[in-house]
Amino acid sequence: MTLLAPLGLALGALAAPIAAMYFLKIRRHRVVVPSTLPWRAFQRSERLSTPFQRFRNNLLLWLQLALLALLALALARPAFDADVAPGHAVVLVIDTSASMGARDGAPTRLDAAIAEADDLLDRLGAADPVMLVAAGPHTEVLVPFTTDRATTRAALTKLRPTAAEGSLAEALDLALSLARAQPGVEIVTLSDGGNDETIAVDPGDIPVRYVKIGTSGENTALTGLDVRRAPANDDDRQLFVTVDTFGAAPVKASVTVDLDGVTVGVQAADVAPGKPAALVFDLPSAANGVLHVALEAPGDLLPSDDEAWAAVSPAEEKRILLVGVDGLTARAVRSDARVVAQAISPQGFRPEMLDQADAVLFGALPSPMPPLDGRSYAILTAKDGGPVKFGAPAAAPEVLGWRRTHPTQRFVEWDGVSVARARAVADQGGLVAVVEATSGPLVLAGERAGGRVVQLAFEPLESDLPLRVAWPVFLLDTVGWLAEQAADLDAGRILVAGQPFVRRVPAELTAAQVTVTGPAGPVAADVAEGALRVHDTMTPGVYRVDLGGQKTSFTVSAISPRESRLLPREALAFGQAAAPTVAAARTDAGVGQREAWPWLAALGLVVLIVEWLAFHLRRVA
Amino acid sequence: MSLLPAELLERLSRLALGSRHRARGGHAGERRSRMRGQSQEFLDHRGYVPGDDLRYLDWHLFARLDGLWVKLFEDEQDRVVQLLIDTSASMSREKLDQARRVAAALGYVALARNDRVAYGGITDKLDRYAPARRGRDQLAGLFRVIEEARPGGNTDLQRAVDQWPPQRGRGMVLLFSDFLHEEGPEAPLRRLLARGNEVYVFHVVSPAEVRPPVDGDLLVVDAETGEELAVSADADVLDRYEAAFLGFLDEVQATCDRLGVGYARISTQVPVEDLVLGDLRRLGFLT
Repeated sequence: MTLLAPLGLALGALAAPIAAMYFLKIRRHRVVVPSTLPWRAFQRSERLSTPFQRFRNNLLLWLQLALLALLALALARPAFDADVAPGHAVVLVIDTSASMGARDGAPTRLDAAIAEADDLLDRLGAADPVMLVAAGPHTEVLVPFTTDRATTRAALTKLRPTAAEGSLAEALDLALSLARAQPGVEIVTLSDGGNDETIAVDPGDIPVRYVKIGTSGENTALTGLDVRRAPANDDDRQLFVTVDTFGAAPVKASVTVDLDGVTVGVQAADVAPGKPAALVFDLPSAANGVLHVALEAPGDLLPSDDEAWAAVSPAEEKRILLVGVDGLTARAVRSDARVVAQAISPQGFRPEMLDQADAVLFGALPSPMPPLDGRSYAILTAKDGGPVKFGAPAAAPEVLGWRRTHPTQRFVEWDGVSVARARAVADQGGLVAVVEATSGPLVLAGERAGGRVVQLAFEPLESDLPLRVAWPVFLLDTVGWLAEQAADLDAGRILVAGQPFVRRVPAELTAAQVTVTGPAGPVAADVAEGALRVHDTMTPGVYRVDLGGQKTSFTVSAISPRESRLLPREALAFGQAAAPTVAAARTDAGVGQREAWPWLAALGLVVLIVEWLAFHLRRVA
Repeated sequence: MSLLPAELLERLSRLALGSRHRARGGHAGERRSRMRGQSQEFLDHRGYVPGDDLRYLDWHLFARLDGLWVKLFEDEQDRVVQLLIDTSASMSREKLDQARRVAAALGYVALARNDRVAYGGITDKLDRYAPARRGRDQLAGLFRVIEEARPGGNTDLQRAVDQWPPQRGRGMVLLFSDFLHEEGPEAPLRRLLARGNEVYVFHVVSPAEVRPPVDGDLLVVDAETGEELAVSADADVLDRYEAAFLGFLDEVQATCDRLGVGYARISTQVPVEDLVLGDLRRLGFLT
């Protein structure tokens, strides 16, 4: 127990004058009487010659001293150690990300967090308002500030760990912004730490307490899943699986792959911390169905990242319109057997041709440019007329780097590519730079007005790129990415939990004609502007989609290295948005303090009532 | 006359002091004495003994009864009415005023009846003494000495009575006091009786003494001795005090009855006219 205001004990000094009043004789009113003879029988035994009287045990004295002691102690604000220190109001932020499903809690981490929250509610004062915030894939205020404990507890019991990544930073940002209006508020975060996330928000004067949930980091997980064409045969597919372990020691893992319930591959892998194992499974020819990948590893704490799904279907045709494209480029595009390419000159271009193509490659721009909203296209020239506004040309730009993870850059090597001249980009038109050079972006890509767009900032023939292997690879990647939405390629059908599913659909299709059934039942879907969007993809598994009779499917897996890295953090890292260095953490999980003065004051009131009763009952007696 | 109103004096002039005894004094007065005397008022007969004055032989009885009987006549002698007023400090002003007024009234009656009247103010000694005087012309002097009395000093009735000069003949002692002293009234009364006095006690009582108008924690101070007592006065204590004080009054009265002393209780609350013309007449002090 500690005293927050020890000076309050000074009130105890009043005990001396109170006691003195019982030792000192009361000042009696002098009354002169003819004779004291009749009064002698009623004399009190006091020695009048001294100002003091013999101490007599007096209940009132003890009650008054007890009352004084309670008041002095209450003023000193004693506080007792507690796991958390509730202020006048508490914001409970509970992590519901996938890692909270780890079985090193009671039984899971989320169960342990709920138990901690329940315990905290027990120790809070009845008048302390509590807000409950769930920090999952989306931050959600489950219960606004309330003193209704039943509501808060009911919301707690409904919490379930999700399979998706969570953002503790986003949740704390929201909690802090909501808490600022509440005086004496404290934020209690029940989490395993949100991985390596730095919280770029300044808590200011609001105390943020971090209650660490979880103890171990032992986990082996599927951290990557992809279905690709086999290099040897476009009709064949390969399944790429990445297995990683986050414990302290290497593990022997086993991965089993089933296609619609039939095992199509089993592989063992030795996985060491920091050294993930990449496994490749050759799938049967013309594989069509749902792949289920199951991982078995010893000492695994998180089951949700031990299985994944992928939907595969036979390769489909991609209809590509080539406008003003040179022969070299056309041949490169046609090297993909699934591509049906139609080449025309800019003069022969008609806008209605766009409806017959999944994507368009412009080697030269027609005049005038047709409206391209909702279309996927690539402009393989640096002429004006596309979405990008160009500035002055720059000579001999050097490639600085490129986004290797972008779908258009898969296996594309830009090192050593020489560009004679490029144009500076004045307005990127909503696209992002995929390849950067000293002159600015060389390649830009992005989604724009419902379609995908790739734009070059240089003329390919003014570079040695067409002479390199990177050129056909870049073209095929670009064609594949552009036509992906329309062609329903497998890559677009493998989602991680929380990632929305988007697919182009005929404009005349309505929401009533679309049904989506997930692992847990029907799922809401939006159909608007010729696109189907399914946002509720929190449950891993297979999602069947019926587009007015046309069947398709996609899969959702709990694949996230961030969530699979289970080792709980010892403290949260707060940083300034402007200063990326981690600021001193204020989130120590040390014990807090709970003040006891309200109880002392209440006890004092009881003593005061007893003293009052004792005084008056004595007078009546 | 500041002590008594003129109307009261006028009414008192028609009254006389009652007596359970016959007066005996050195001078002939208007009071009848039990001493067989030489007045013309026949009292009784008794048998003749040698030496009796033959003038008082009742010859009519001798003729009828053939025996010698002597006629006895009341001897009309004056009385010495001794007004003893306790002027100690316990006799607060209102009590002393009431005692002075009653004493003055009775002294006036005595002087009007040609009795001699002596006055003594007593505390723990004989504080003031006015020798016996006779006649209405002494009234102003008597009233003056009575008026001069002031409360003060302690009470020692026995000592004061011892200092009281013997009066010629038997007299009437009218003692005014509150009797609030340790020794009680018995000893001084016995001494007064031993001198052959007819003694009457006028017990002066103030209602504020019977039930003091006080409350709370008090320090009661004795007006005479300065003794201080710590008292917590509440309704219960005052009830018990009142009962005890009334018991004390009854005890004084019982002592007087036992000693054959006349007793009258004088309340300061009752007007002197009502006391003298009402209560004292009913009790036979005035006739």
